[in-house]
Amino acid sequence: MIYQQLINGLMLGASYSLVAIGYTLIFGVLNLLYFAHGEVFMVGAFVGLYLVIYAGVDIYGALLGAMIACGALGIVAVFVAVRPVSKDRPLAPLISTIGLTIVLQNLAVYLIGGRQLAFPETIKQQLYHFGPVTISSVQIFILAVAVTLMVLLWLFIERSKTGRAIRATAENHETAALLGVDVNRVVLITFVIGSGIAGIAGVLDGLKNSSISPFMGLGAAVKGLIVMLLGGLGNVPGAMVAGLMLGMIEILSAAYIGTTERDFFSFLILILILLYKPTGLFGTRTIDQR
Amino acid sequence: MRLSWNFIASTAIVAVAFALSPIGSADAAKLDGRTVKIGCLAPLTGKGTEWGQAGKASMEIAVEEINAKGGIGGLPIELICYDYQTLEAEALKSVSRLVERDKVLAISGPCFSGPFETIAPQLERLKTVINSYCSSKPGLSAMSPWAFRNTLTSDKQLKPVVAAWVKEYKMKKVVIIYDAEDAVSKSEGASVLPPLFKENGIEVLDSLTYRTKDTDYSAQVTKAKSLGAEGIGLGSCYQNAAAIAKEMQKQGLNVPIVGGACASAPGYIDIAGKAAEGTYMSTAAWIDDPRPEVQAYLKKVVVKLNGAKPPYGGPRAYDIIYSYKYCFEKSGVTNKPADLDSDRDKIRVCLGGLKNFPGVAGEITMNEVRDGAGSSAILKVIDGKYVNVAK
Repeated sequence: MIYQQLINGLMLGASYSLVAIGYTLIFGVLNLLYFAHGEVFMVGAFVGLYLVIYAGVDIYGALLGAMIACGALGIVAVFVAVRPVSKDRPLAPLISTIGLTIVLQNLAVYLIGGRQLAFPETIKQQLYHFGPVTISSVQIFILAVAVTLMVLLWLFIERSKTGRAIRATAENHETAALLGVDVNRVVLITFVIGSGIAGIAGVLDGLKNSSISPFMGLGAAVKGLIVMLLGGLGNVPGAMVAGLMLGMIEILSAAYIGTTERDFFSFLILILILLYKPTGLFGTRTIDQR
Repeated sequence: MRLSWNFIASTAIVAVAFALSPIGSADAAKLDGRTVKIGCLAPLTGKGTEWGQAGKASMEIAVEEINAKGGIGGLPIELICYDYQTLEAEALKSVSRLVERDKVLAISGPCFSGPFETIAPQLERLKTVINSYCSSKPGLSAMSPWAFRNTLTSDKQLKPVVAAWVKEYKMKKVVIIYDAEDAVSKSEGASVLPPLFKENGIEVLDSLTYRTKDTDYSAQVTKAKSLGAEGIGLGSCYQNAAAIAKEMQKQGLNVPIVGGACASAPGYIDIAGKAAEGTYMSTAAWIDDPRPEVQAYLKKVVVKLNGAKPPYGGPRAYDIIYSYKYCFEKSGVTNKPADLDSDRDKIRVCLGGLKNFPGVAGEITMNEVRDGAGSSAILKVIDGKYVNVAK
């Protein structure tokens, strides 16, 4: 049973990592807890669903469409809830993004209704047996997309010019600007990338759970937040590893201690980390937090 | 035109039956005021959305039908609805608002056992009838003489379902998976299913729990598989039940499932797809019942729900409005503001004595603890549809 539970943990952890990456990227460049991230994840899932149902696209089309739509939503978020808000008041952008969260969720309930909708089977269900472990074609697909995305993002952040600009902005806005980095552009790009990844994560979540609802964003946002803190604020590789760790912890505690205690362990670990290692397990990447 | 004796005899029988039926025998005295107010509690958001939307739409249909025929005692029904978001505290607030501010004669709802359990102890103070169209945890109506449920409790619903399930699949050991937070699911998983399995000679290998908002059930399914479960008993509402069925499919745990009434919403099949095939469920109303009155109701409610079929709470909510109409007319309610307390009490007494009341969900008879001891069905998912396999 342990091997199968490890696979379960890996699957759950991969979905946490994808949500947390966007969170931590945005936190890194803006020092801002972007609360609407969970709702962007929800929007991505619904864009994917409607593309499959009404446009007849396959899962790749759904992922691409959700990524583009959520990237665009990221741009809207910057112009509506981030840029117009005064930087002198640290809580103001936080409140404005909470406002955006409420608007997006209510809009979804108004347009779609509050019910849970089935996410179509866009991948043929096949089971593969490796000794005691059974893994389905859907799980392999989700894991492959999540890992590929994480690797590409890591390469982008570490090796590309824009990635360097994002890292420089995360270190210090003023210094980055003095070195010729267009900080506003970097913030915009970060929102587009973070939101696009959230869109993909939303579709993968629909695929994994076979259903989506306008309320799915909150749970994802809370778990994403825990992973971000666990991995270190603004630390993208940290979020990737921390997501997998949290998934494993939840699954193993559910399997061997108690199924209703899994959240207890998530929050217990979070509290312990905040107490003994406030910069997260892998260290924060934002200058103010060091 | 020449009438046959058969036609005359059958017409006479129908006329006599109608005259003797509860609806036919009601005394429609002229009521005071401008409208007859009925409260409605429906969860339009949260986990109970599908149930709440179906319940509200069904009550509206009944009100529209009654008002089109002249209302009650010459007055139209005014249905005052609140969305309590499937939250216990919100449900309690909404009931107080309906009783104290809106001054309704009676309330239809709430849906779900959790809110019902929260409201029932307050009814001694509020002294207004509540009548749930979807709550089946055993023992709740007994909490107050003002608490009614137009549904069978889950122990009574599940008894024939579990027997039929075991008879067909002949399993010997099962695992129970249930929602530890939802009132009826917890009751089914912890108190109703274990004795029913024992009664049928089935060993319960383990009882695994989850929380209502969980979306990942892989750990529970893996554990059930490793224990060698030959069947899964679910204490669960449909969203979670469907996700568990899908997870079972993903992990290759191809064993039959049995679930209670909260799981038997049409959404279970929509979400679980092929993984739902062969599942047995209990229900307090079979929506695909070919009886013409059920189909006539279904035709209307599907339009209101944008093409979706309602779970059993829909027809039960529809029937509650008609049972209220009957009681308002039968028990001498005046609808005068000064008589509000006595009117509410008259409705309580009338509802408690309801026997063989004809409804689209089947005949309703209130038992000694004010639960609707009406008909139920044994549903099995066959080719993507619920089929009543009760003999």
